[in-house]
Amino acid sequence: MGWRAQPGSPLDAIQRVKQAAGLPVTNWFAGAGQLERWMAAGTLCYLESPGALLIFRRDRDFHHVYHVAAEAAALGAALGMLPDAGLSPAVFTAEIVGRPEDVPPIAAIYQEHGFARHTSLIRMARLAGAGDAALPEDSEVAFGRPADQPFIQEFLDSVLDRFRDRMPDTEELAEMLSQRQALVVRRGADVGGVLIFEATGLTSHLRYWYVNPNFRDQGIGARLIKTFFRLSCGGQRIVLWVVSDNTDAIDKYQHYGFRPESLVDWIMIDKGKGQR
Amino acid sequence: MKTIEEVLKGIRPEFDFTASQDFLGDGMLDSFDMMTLVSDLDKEYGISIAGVDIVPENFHNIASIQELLRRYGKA
Repeated sequence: MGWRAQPGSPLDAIQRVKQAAGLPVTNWFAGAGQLERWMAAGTLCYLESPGALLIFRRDRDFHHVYHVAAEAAALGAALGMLPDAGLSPAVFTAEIVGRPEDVPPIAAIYQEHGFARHTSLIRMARLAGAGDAALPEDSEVAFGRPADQPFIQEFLDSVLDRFRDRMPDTEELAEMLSQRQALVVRRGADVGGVLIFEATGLTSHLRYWYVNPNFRDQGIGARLIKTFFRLSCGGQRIVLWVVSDNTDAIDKYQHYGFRPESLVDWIMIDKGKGQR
Repeated sequence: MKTIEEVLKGIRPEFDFTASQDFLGDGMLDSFDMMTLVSDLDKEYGISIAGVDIVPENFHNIASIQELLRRYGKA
C-alpha cells in the first residue's frame, strides 16, 4: 500500500509540506527535545500525502494524530487515508489548538472522517503578583523524591484522562522529579497531594495539581499552589489548561488569579469507527 | 502600521520584548503564540510568510523578525 504509515522522523516530510504552504494548518508544536524523546522511544510514524502529513505517536493503547497541511482540503484528503494507514490500535486522538474562531473549521474536517469531540480545554493565565515573593515558606511542602514516583504515577494514572491530559510516562515523570518540578505534601507514608509544573524562562506551566481524595479538606491544595507561586515569583506568567465546562475548577483558578485566554484545545477522538 | 514591538505586545502585553534576545527560550512566546504572531504579521504587513520561514530562528527576537520582514520587502 502506498499510503501506509512509515516509522521514522517526520522532519523532512514537514519541510516538504511547508514548501508548498504559507501559514500551514497544523497542530504539530513538538519541540526538539520532545521529538528526540519520541524518536528514541520508537513511538513515531507518519503518513505523507499530497500537501499534507499526518504524524502518529503511540501512547498506551491509542495514537495521537498531528497534522501539517498546506491547506484544509489536503488535511481532509490525508484523513481519508487513515483507515489504510495500517496502525493498530486504530484508536486516534487529535488536539486542535487555536483561537476559538479558528478551531471549529478544522475540527469539522476531523468529524467528516469519523472523529467526535471528546472534550475541550481552555487556557488560563496568571500574572505574577506583587505578594508572591512574600508568601511564607511552608515546611509541609517539599519537592518530590524519586522514591515518590510509584505513588505519584499510580495516583496520576487513576485521576487523569489518558485521551485528554498528556499523561507523563515513567521516563518523563522521573525527569520531572529529578528536575524539582514536582511538589508534594506527605501524609504519613502517603502522598497527600501533588503539583507538577514546568518552567521556561518567564513562564511556568502548571501541569497537574491534585489532592489525594483520602486527604481532602485539609488545605493541601492551597499549600501546594501558594508554594508554587512563591517558587515561580522570578517569572511573570503561569499558564494552565482546564476542561472548559469544569466550572468548579475554573472558579478555583480564578480565585487564585488566573484568567481565561483566547486559546482553546478541542480533543477529537476516533475509537476505531474509521477502520476497514 | 504597527511596529514589530506593538504586534508582539498585542499578543503578550505583559512582557518587555526589547529586553530579550530569545523570546521562546525566555518563555515570552510559545509555539501557539508563534502561529498567532505569524498570522498577525501577515495581516499587519500585507504579506504571506512562507511555511519554510516559520521556524524559531526567524522569531528569536525583534532583530530576527526585522530581518525576516526585510526579506519580504517590509523592513
